[in-house]
Formats: sequence, structure tokens, C-alpha cells
Amino acid sequence: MMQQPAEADALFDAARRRVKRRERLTPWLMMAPALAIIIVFFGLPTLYMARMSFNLHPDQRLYVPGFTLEHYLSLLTDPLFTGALWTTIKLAFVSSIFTVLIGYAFALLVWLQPAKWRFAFIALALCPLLISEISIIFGWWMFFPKNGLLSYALLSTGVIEDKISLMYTEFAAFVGLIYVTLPFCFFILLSIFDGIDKRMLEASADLGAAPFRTAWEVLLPLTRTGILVAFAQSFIWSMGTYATPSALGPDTLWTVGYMIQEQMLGKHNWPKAAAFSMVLAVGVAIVMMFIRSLMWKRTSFHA
Amino acid sequence: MARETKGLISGISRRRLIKSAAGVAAALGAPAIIGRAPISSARADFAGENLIVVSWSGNHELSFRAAVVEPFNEKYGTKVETVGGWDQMVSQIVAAPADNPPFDITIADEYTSSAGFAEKLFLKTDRSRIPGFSAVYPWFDEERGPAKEYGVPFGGGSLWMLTAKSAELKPDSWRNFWDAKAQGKITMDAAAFYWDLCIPAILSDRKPGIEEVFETPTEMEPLFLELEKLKMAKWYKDGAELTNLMLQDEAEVATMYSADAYGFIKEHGEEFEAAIPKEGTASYTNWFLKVRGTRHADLADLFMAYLLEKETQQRFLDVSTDFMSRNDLTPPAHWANYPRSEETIRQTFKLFSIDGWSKFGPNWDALDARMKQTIAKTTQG
Repeated sequence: MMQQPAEADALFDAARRRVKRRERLTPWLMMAPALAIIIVFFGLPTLYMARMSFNLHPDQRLYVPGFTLEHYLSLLTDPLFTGALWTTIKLAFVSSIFTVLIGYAFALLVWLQPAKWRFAFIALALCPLLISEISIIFGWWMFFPKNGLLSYALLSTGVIEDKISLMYTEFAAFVGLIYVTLPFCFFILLSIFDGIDKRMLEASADLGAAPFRTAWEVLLPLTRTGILVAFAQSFIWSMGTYATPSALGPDTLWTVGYMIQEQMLGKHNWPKAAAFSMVLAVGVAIVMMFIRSLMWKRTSFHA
Repeated sequence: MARETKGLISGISRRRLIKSAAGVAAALGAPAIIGRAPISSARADFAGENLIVVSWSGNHELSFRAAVVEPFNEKYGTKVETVGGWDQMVSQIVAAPADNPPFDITIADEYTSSAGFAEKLFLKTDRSRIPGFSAVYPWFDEERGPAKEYGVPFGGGSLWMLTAKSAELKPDSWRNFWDAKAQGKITMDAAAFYWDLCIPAILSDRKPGIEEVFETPTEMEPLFLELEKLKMAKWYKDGAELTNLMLQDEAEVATMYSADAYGFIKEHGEEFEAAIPKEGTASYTNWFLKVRGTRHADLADLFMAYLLEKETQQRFLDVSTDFMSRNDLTPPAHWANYPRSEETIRQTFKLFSIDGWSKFGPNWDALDARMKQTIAKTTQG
């Protein structure tokens, strides 16, 4: 017995709706585990921190539940905080640029090497990741002072005539930060390079392009996303870290991370520490969104 | 016989039997808990039980582990552990569930105590269970005020002066910080800056002890101005940095906490000297407090009683530069002029008291901002 056309249409519509519903749900179902992790481990703590930043701190208690904008208002008028914010941004920005430059050169070098050398370089890049940040700081403490390795090396090779100390300088803080973030940048960039067909370099050369032009017009556009991601990674890390700049930099290198620690543990002022942290988190989020917007432009350009 | 026994048991109700057994167990255990127990019964009560005790990090923790925790475990068969801490204990307790704190007993100076009391984090101590109290200097209770109901006073720490022998300055007077030979070679604590302010306060005749530090920021201005006459090699942020600065010849004259001084001098005594200057010094006391919610309250009591035993205190004093709370100890070989009387304790140690913190605390942000100006003016590092 044949179905009536209207009945068949209804069945077809129902099937189509099911498919569409499944299409709508599938991405959410696939994202669900990651989303759950993000909400539980990042979303809720951030919400808790945001709520904490509005609590009161009237006495020696860590906080008293309530609502005040006092901590945010004090940030606007506190020259120490605005100074620390500026210092943190400068440190993070400059160190991230150098990290990306060095990481790019290193990743390019490794990408162009034959396989036998490649593994040696990758092992070398992994080394800093196997050591804790504190141990790395102790290493720099042996390297930079006037009785340190660097001073002795320069003295014994005749480059300098008297011992020098680069310890507790902004240079030392930059070097320390770059050393910590470099491996992350390197691996991000190497993964991008690995996705490029090396024959494109040969094709560019065959068409008469000089190496610099090949790098500028072929390699750079193809690795642009990687550069942005590597910069973002380095910038976020540098904005949040406080141990390295605090231990290697000069006395007056007060970063936001240092001030958060000072408020949280030293002064036992959780709401103000949370307000500092929220400003830092929002600042980093804005930078991330800006970097993402640059990536979208690239994608739409290629589309 | 079996029938007789059966009849006897059937004549006693089960509830009564359990009550009696519990009573016997408590009677056997009680002496152990109050610290006068035969060791064998205390061992039976607490063998294998865990207890987490916080002491100051670094050298203090090493000494505390060797002189207190390990002998205690050996004596009672317990599993007491020590973990290091400085300023995070109150935050850690508040952040943890109220019935499951991250540790059972914590060391606390006046600042940590004040914050902990404000949050109601500590439990009162039944002093009748701790016989060692009878030998404690009354100074500890007097300075503590009503807070003395909580915990036991193990001893106290203080600010020491440390000099490199190459500096040609002895650690015998705070005035040496202002000596021309010291300029450019000094290091002091940038983080706990209130101890730095105590030095010009001790040298000042305006008020006794360190009373100037508990005034308003305006009244404290002369202390900052005194510090600004110094030329610092670097302001250190923790003990590790201080050690590095001294060993790398970046600094030669420093303030150092007694918690670290013993270990440092033991390791590097050939090149450095450390002492409490003749003017006396700023100090804090080390009370051990039982944390609310602890699941090992009885073992905690036993441990706190152990802290006030003469042998325990002597053992710790022999490997430390902290002063102890008992009045009957023998000065250690490394500390010839160890204060031996109540009077000397009062003269030597100017306590940054709980009352002092209640005055300093509200001005902290303003004073911290002022101190950062001083750091910026005086630093070379």
C-alpha cells in the first residue's frame, strides 16, 4: 500500500528536523568535555575571584562578605598600581617580541635541518621545561652576578678588565622571562613550520625570488598565525609571572603579579588581590581578543 | 566455670559493658594525653597517627624537624610531619574546609596570630594538660594578653645583624649600618619592611623600644628619613636572595632573621659574623597553635606539651639562634651571651606585639607606599 504524499512529506520533514537537530547538537556534544573542564576549572574560579573583588576588608580578617567598589576605585588612584601595570605590560610586550624573534629563528633552523639534527635541537628546547622556574632562577643567580659565570668568562677572555654584574637589572629580568617562555614559542612555531611544504621555498627560488623575498612573501604569511599564537602565549605567561622578574630584576621592578602576591599573602587583603587579578585577567583577555581578530582577518582573506 | 562466666556477662547489659570499656580506655589514655603518661601507653594510643605541623621555612624547619619532630616520632611511634611556611598559613586555613584544615598545628608570630584570631581559626589550650608552662618566662604571657589562652609559646625569633668579615664592621651595633664603610654594601628586607623600620626606632630616643613603629604614618616619617640616609646594594625579598647577595659579594652588611642565622653561620661562619647588636633587637614570638577542625586534637595536645619540655627546648636551642620560652636552659656553644633571665629577655627583645599590629595594620598600605619611595631612593640594585 502506498503512502499518501502528505504523510510522506511529514515523515520527510520530521527526518530532516532530526538531522538538523543532530547537526546543531553534534558540535556541542563534541565540545562538552572540554567545555565542562573550562567551566569547572577556569570559569567558576574566575567568577569566585570576581565576586571576591567586591567584598569588604575592614580589619584583620581576610575579607568580609559585602559589596564595595572601593578596591577598583583605589586602583585608579593608586600610582603604585598604575606604575606596576605599565611595568608589567612593558616587560611582557618587549620580552614576547624577543621571544618570538628568537623562537622563530630557532624553529626555522630546526625545520630546515635533516632529521638526525632535528631531534637533538628539540631535546635542547625541551630542557628548560624539565626544570622548575625556581631552579632556573637559582641558575641565573650563579650566572649574572659579579662573581658569576658570565663575569668570569668575560674577564678570562679579556673582553672586560674588571668584574661586572648584570644581576638585578631589567636586562636580567628580560633574559629570565625569555628563557622561560622560549620553549613554548618554539614548539608552537615548529608545528606551524612542519605544516608547510618545503618545496614552496624551491618554487619561490625557481621563480627568481631572493632568500629575503621568499622569507617575506612566502614564509612569513604562511607562519603568521603561528607568530600570533606564539606571541599570545608568551605575553600571557609574562603578564602573570612574578617570580622571575622579581628575583632577577631591580628593586623597583614592581609587577602586578608581585603586588597581587603582596596583597594576598603579606597584607591578607583578598578583595584587593582579587581586584588586581581581575584587572590583569581582563587586560590579558583584551589582548587575546585583539590577537584573535588579527587571525580572523587572515582566514577571511584566504577564503 | 564457663557457665559462671556466661552468667556474669549476661548479668551486665551490653551498654554498660561498652561504657565500662570506654572508661577503662580513657583512664589508660588520659595520662598520655596530659603529657604525664608512661611513654608505653602514649605509644599505644598514638602509634602510627599522623599530625601535620607548620614551622617557619628554611633553616628553622630543618632544625625543628631534627630537634623536635624526629625525636617525638621516635618516642611515641607517631607520624608527625613538618611543613614550611611564612605568611601563607592563615590564607591556607581559610581556603580549606573548616572541618579539614591543611595542617593541625601551626607556628604563628604576632601578625599570623592576629589574622588567625580575627578569623577564629585557632583552638584554646587546656594548660592543665601541659606541665611545661610552669617554667616559661612570664614575659611571654604578659606580652600576649588575652591571646595567651591559645597555643603554647615555644620561643621567639628576632632580627640579627650579619656582616662579612671583609666589611671591617662588627655586627655589634645597629649604628654600623650608617657607617661610611657600609654604604653601597647593605641589604635589608623589602617584603617585611616593618622590621627595617624597627632599626631606626631602636636607635631613636624619642620612645622606648620600637614604639615609634606603632605611630601614625606622619609621625613615622623620621624613621623613613633615617633609612633614606643608607645606600643599599639591594633590598632582598626572601632569605634565599639574602644568602645569594652575601655569598656573591653583592652585599656585606645585612639584617637577617634568627630563623636563618644559625644555618647561615654554621655554613659560612669563616667569612661572616652574626649577632644581636648591643642596643637590643626587634622580635616576634613563636607560638604553636592548634587549628580548628583538626582531626588529631589529642595528639596535638601531646605534641604541644612536648614543645615545652626542657629536653625538647634545649635540643632546639642547641641548633638555633631563636630564643626559647623556658627559663632553665643552658646557653648553647654558638650563643655565649644567650639571655638567661627575665630581665635580659625584656631588655634584649622589643616585641612587635599583637597590640602593635592592631595599630600598624590599618596604615599598612600607606606605609608600604612610603617604603617603596624609600626603596627607590636608596637602591643601587
